Amino acid sequence: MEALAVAAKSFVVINAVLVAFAYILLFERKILGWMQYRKGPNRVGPWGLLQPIADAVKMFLKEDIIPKDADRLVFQLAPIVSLAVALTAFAFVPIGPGLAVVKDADAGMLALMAVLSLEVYGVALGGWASQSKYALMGALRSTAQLISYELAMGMTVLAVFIMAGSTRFDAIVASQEGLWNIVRMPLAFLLFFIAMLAETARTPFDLPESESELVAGYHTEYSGMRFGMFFMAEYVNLVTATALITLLFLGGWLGPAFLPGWVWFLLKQSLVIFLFIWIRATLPRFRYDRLMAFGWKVMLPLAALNLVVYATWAALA
Amino acid sequence: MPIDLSSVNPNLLIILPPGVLAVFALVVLVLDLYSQEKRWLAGLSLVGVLLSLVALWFASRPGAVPPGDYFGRMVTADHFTFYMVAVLLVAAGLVILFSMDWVPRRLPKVQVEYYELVLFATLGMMFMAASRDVTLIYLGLELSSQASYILAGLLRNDPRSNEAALKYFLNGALASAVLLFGLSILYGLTGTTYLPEMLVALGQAPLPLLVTAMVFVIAGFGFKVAAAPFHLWAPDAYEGAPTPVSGFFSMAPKAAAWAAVLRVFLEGLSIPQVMDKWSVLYAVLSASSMLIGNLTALWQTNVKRMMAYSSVSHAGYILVGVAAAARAPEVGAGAVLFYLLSYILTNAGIWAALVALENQGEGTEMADFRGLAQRNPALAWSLLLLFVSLIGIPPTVGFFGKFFLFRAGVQAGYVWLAVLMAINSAISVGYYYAVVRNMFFEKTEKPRLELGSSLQAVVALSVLAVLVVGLGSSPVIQYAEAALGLLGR
Amino acid sequence: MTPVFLVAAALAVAGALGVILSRQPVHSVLALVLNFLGLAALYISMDAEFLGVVQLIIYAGAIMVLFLFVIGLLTARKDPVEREAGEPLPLQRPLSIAAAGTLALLLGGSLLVARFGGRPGVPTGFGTVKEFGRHLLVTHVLPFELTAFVLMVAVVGVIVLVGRKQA
Repeated sequence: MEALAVAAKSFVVINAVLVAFAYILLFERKILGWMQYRKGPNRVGPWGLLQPIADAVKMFLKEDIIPKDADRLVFQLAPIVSLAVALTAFAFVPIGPGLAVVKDADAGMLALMAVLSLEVYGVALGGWASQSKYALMGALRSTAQLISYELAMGMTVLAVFIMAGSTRFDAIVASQEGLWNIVRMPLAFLLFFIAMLAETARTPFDLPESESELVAGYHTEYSGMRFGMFFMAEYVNLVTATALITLLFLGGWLGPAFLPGWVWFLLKQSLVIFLFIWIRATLPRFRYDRLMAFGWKVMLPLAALNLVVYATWAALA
Repeated sequence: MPIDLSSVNPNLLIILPPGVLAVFALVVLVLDLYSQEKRWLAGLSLVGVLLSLVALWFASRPGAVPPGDYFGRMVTADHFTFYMVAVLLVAAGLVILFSMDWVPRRLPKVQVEYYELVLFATLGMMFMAASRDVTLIYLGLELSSQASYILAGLLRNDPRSNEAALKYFLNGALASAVLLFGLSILYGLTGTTYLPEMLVALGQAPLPLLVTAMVFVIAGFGFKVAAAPFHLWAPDAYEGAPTPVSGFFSMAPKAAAWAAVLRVFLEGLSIPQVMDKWSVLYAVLSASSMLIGNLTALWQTNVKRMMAYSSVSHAGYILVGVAAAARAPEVGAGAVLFYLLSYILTNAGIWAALVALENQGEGTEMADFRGLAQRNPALAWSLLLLFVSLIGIPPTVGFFGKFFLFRAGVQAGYVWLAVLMAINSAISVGYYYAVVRNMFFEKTEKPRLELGSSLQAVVALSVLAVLVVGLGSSPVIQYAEAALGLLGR
Repeated sequence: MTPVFLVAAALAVAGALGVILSRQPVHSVLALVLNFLGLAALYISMDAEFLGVVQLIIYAGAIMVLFLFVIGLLTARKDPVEREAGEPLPLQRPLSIAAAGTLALLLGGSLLVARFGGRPGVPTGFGTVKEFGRHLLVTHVLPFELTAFVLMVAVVGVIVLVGRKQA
């Protein structure tokens, strides 16, 4: 019975996330348009509301091209891995007290980080299997980038764990009652926010697919729905990342009682998503060596310092 | 000096000697980044070693640290720990001292890294000697081994140094894996990594598995101490590594490995069913190491390589004591501990002479020793004395070391092994004499060999110690035998 | 023999077989990742959640990515892998089979002993974050710190031996 319940929940959540993906994409295109004195998509349906559906139909109808020299198995597997991992990671995210597919995991946040750390495989394999120099470059960059920033991310999250005394999401959120972590540990918030930008490969860290140098990076050779899956995975990761920021630093579902917890959660998350899009419209891309230097020489030492400070605080308190 | 240590937490006091060393190693590492002048950092490393010795002196005073285990049973306070840590620190100090002139000449770009690595290696070795928990023994071994691999390869542009590093690394990594495999079987059999508990739990373990594990552990340690037939890496590593590094290899890492052998076998594997087995295995290793080491050394023309084979044969002598320790623990282990000290003190002077030759841009072939008596009579006579000590002729410390091993062998019933040791000492005269003949009976046109103050100090200390420790050996051997008396009981 | 155990064990075994049977090195790496996933699931099914998570983060998420990185670059051109060159050592196959057999015998033997010898089971709380942390940072703090030194020495070594600075 329990397994059936989980399966049903997974089905609902997956569909919800995919719909969310479609409309976050529209949201992003609209906002980018306005920020750049354009209108954004406005032809399909009122205010372009049906645009995502049109895009989806287009994706499904396009030809699925596999390059002649590609490693067929890996090439076909990579987008699936990418999307599957992204969706699995989201399964651990609660949007309200107990509102997650996998409830009450003792090592909830750790488990999520474990799954997130697998995200690199889709990208690396896709880039490698394509047998194209742009794709390979993109894959290499993303591997290096994800591993580098994962360290800083992990160290920052450790500080949050220490303050909450637990790795469970409900305990982490409960520990922010009265004082959100963004106020209590501003440096950690900043580090985590940057690390999340890098982990989701959003501007200014979008080197794995920087279109002005690498055509389209790791998914250069992909077309049709396989490309679509990469694309979806990217946005599911965006949803997960913003949800994490909300949970760890913005008090999760905490808020005045006139709205249910999950509404507060979604409101806060939307704000973070908007912030991500705003950054995309504003900032230029990092140079690759700067990116690595920033990750190892700035982010990591600061994260370590942050950890020591809050560990000392927790020990003294 | 009336300092009351009874109020100091013994946990802190026992960790102080390695702690001081670790702090100095890290400070030197950081200062290297900001300091243009590098030579004083060598001095700072030496100060670290000396301060660590001072800390050890405080920790080892009666009443300062009650005998027992500290830091979650990881570090043991007993005479064995104090004795071995002191020996290792002395070795490290001598190595740093005889490297001081050599390093700026040959390793101008990585001077400070050299000292750091020596300090880190020593740190690892201190834990090997000080712990009764195989986790820490193994980690200490890894730390010292890794630092040693890197030290062997420091001469980046010399292919022989690269070869030495690579051979040492591959063999060492294999040995570590073998050792770890043996230890993990022991853990699986007993459910503990703490040797005294292991000893209790081993009684119920099935014998075949136990013996398998024991063989793995013996083979692993055999590699580390370069006992034949696990010695094949040693000559190449010694010959190719930078000369002071080879000196370091022959002194410190081996002593630490011997300490770990004594700990693991006397405290962990000393149940009667297996004691006899490892005793016999070690006796066989001992015989083969002595014979192979000495006979091969006779044919060497490079003194570094000759010293490598010589160290294999000395591993064989030490193994007499280890084999004997199964039947007469105090006498056997005491003899091993004493021999380690005597070997380190003697070797320091010999390697200092090799370093001195390289300092003047010469090699370490037999031919380079020609006419040394003309070029520097004091050094030549010192070397003669040191070789006499290595052979084991009275009144040097080497004689007493061999004598105690001989006595332990006889007491334990290994008369054949003791006799073999005497025969081998006679064989070893052959190759040491080759060097002596070159020094005294060959003529040369080369100019005087200058030693520099730090090398002079090492040679003088070495010669002095060979005479003094030899003649005053009774308190040392008493302490060494008492060290084992307190082991785990 | 819960269903979770069966699935996870099958995954682990399939992954392990894939590692040695596939001809393309990258496929081997992927199979190894699969093996790790199975192991992680096994840990979690035995309530050692932290071990499972760490298995994923460290092995699958970090170490194997590095493997993929290196192997992917080495085989970027997808050159056919040399297979038919014969065995570098005579009797390589029989010897390795003999060695593997001995090892299997030993391990099987020790397993039997563990099963029938009445060894104590794992303590309660084994593998949870709290227990793990306590062991790592209280009882084993010294080995833990020493590991840090081991890693640092390795880093120093890399810089000294292959860094830009010419010795």
